[in-house]
Amino acid sequence: MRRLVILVCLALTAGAPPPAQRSFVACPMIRDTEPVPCWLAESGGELYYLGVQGDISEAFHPPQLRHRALVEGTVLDGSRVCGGVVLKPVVVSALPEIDETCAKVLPAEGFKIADFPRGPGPANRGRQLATGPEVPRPLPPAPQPPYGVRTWDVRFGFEGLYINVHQFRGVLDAVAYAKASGGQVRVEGWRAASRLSNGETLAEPVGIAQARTDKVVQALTELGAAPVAAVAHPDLETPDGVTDPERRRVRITVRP
Amino acid sequence: MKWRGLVGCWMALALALPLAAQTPERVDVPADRSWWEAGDGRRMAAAAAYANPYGRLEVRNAGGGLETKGHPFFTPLGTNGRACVTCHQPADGMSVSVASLRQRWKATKGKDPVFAAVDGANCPSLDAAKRSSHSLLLDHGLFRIFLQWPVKDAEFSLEVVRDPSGCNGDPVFGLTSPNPMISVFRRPRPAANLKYVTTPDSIGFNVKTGMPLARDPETGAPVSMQLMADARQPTLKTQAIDAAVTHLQAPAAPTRDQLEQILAFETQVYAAQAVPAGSPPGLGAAALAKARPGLLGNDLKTPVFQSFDLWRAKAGETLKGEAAFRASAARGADIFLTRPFWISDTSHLNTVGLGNPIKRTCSTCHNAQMTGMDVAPGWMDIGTNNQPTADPLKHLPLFKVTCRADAPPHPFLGRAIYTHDPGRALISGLCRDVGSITMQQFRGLAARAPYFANGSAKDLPALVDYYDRRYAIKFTAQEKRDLVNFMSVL
Ligand code: HEC
Ligand code: HEC
Repeated sequence: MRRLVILVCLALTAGAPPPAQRSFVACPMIRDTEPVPCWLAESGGELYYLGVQGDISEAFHPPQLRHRALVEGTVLDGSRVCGGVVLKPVVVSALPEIDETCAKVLPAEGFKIADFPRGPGPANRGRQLATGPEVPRPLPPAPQPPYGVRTWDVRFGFEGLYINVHQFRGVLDAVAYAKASGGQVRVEGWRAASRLSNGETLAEPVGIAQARTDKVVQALTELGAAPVAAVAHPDLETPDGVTDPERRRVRITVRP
Repeated sequence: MKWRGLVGCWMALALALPLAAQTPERVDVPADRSWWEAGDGRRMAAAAAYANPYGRLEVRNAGGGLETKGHPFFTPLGTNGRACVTCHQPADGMSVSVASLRQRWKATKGKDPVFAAVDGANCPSLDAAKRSSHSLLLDHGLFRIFLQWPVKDAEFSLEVVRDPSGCNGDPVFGLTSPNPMISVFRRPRPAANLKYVTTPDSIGFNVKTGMPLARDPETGAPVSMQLMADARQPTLKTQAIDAAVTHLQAPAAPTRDQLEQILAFETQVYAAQAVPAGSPPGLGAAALAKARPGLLGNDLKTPVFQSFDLWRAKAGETLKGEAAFRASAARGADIFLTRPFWISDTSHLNTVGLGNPIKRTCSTCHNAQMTGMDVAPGWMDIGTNNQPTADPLKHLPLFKVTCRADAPPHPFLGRAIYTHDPGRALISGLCRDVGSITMQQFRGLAARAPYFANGSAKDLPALVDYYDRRYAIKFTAQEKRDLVNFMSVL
């Protein structure tokens, strides 16, 4: 709670979000289903399904017990998985402070997971065998002219500074494009607020816009595409309870 | 890359010349010749086997037999009579076991240079003649690692709660001395199979930091960030310079030529438990020399230590003796790969997008083919150093870490942490890194007890027991035996 600022701030609030939107802070729960566990969270007397255990290459990155989570999602079609109403798409942010009350592991209670990326053991994709013949790794296609202005948004979890593997690929793409096009790189970073379903607004700390901007500048510089300019925006844009996760971002612009 | 080229050239020359007409040699080294003294000058065979409690360990020079006379890895470069080989013994999988250290203490009445006070004593200020001054080395295989503290922008302060070695409070060597140093105590990591340790993750991303990998200060190429328990050394070259100056007490860094020779040796030496012909393809030092590094092995089709099918029992078959042992090791390989348990509250595993907890297996963390390291920079806090999960390590220093209120906390221990070794946090200064240790390679385990960076697992059964407790796995006695047998053949 220390760094978390909850504002009940009507001035910032746009019109009511569409009825399918859900945005709430809650303790996540894990259910011990076969073949892989699934993740749930409760809000307003309803249980929501967030996703299943997978890999970091999956779009869904599960929450963490012992941390509350900010859940921002859309009710898919009212269907249930693992006992919860499916939220999809859904963005889950583990909040940095520890909350010992977030400790619930639920039994399977007859639920099963039908759709999962991989089981609880190793993957079964088959890659290269270290003792077998060498297969050359395919290289990503190099950017091709004509070069125009392009932008990449690096998104963060709520109160987060961590660039995850998906977002990092955006950074790599921007670097490759800047190098190929000889373009100038500019960086802009934001802090954001989330409009919760209960009408409250949850805002990130002021310093995070600068900290995020610095992170991305550092990554670009280390990768050989140092920005010519970087700006942090500590002012909050109006949260709408729908697109809030998209505003926790640093934008990289490459101008050939 | 230029540097690599140079080393390669040198290697080809240096190793090809003396060997030109020779066939590869293989020797069985008798137990009374197994300790390699600095400056011994004997020839290192292309393949040599050394007995250990589980069988024999094999060390192979991919470049063929090696004259060690005058070779900088085998020759004292400093003032204390030690060479690199003193703590990286071929017989001990290029680490050094507690059993060898004890024998050495007995044989030399404590005079062997391995006991040099700088880091072979609990603290250099103690009476070096006494056994008790070397208890951490003789009882736990631990050398003193001394690092500058604090580092710039550290998110936390350190307080010494317990200091059995006396070194953290020492007026000359301690945290409040004119040149403030923290002393932690760690096992030597194997100086073999190093192409696997130094190959960077191919996408250049460090999943532990969400940032690009660190770079070689000389070439600018990305590095693996896997060297040393705290990943403090970017390259084998910077590591060798640091080792010469600290462990060997060399007055200056080794010369360029010496460094090239050290690196050329280190990058062609392979160590693994010896196995007979017809064994699984990932076993033995020759397989390590031949196979390719940097490949993910947490996959049923490309398992971490390759297939164990050759040792598997057929359905309904009852095996005896060696065949029964091999079938057990094959089952152990399966447990390692496929036996799920809840992995929880582990910083840098449960925090990188997988969720806390995750139901997975040993190979989730130990996922790199051939070594069982992490393909990504491998530091994690599995609890070996932080209380309350660490064993009660009365012989080790205990520090209280207090994190700044505005810094993100350690994700599972918060802002007040009791630790025996802050690990990666001593380099990064980050609270979330407190207690995180870069995992070691698994090869030659049979030859180099005790285990974990802090030596807290005295043998392989104790290592399995640690995991069983830490993650409440509830392994059966049979599963534990199978895992131990599996690890003993690596
Ligand atoms: C007094 C004992 C001692 C001596 C002598 C010594 N080392 Fe080490 N070595 C260690 C210890 C202890 C570690 C682990 C330190 C840590 O994790 O912080 C280590 C780690 C290493 C590693 C890292 C391996 C890995 O997987 O991370 C390499 C490589 C290495 N030493 C090479 C050398 C070289 C080259 C020399 C000689 C210049 C040398 N060592 C001399 C004790 C020694
Ligand atoms: C959550 C990640 C994780 C899991 C799961 C895990 N390990 Fe480890 N392992 C580590 C780390 C980190 C280290 C280094 C710890 C240290 O030295 O303090 C390590 C070290 C080891 C070592 C090297 C010891 C040495 O001194 O060379 C062995 C062997 C090992 N683990 C076996 C296992 C086995 C068997 C399992 C399954 C029962 C397992 N590990 C599960 C992370 C993990």
